[in-house]
Amino acid sequence: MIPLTYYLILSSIVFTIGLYGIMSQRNGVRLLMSVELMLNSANINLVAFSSYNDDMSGQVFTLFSIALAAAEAIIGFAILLSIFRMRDMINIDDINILRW
Amino acid sequence: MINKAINGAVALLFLAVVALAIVTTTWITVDELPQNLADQSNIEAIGVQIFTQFVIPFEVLSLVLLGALIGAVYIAKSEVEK
Repeated sequence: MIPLTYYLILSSIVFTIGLYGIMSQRNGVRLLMSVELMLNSANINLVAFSSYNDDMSGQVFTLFSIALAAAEAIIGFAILLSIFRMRDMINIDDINILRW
Repeated sequence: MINKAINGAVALLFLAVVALAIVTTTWITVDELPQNLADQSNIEAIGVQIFTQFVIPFEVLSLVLLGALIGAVYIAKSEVEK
């Protein structure tokens, strides 16, 4: 039987890749991609614990977490779209004024 | 280039701390993984759970998704030419 720590190590590696992606990306779309990566690493953890403790609620909660990640991504892309319409670029370093 | 290296270092430090925490703790797991031959992908069990134990979160989730949909359409709506 695969020990549980392998799944947790995999999930922490995926989370670290997402973390690095968030820290070093300048493009808005790539930032949202790395946020999705971090959320999916949490889902890996949820499913791993759910199957290793023989409790179904972890896997059900993963479905809710995926749906919420989709809702969050929708809003993120809508905001990026409106910023792009106004400024013709989504370079996050330059978007630092709250009201323009 | 410098801050990419710093980012990498911070991310690797974070990974080291989390991996150390994972390896050193002893996880309480069931000895035998639950094998349900009839329902391999246990989609039926999830379906039963959703509509018995998780009904309220399921309905709230639909409201949240509806709100996100309406909000996204409103944000992304192009300006109506006056």
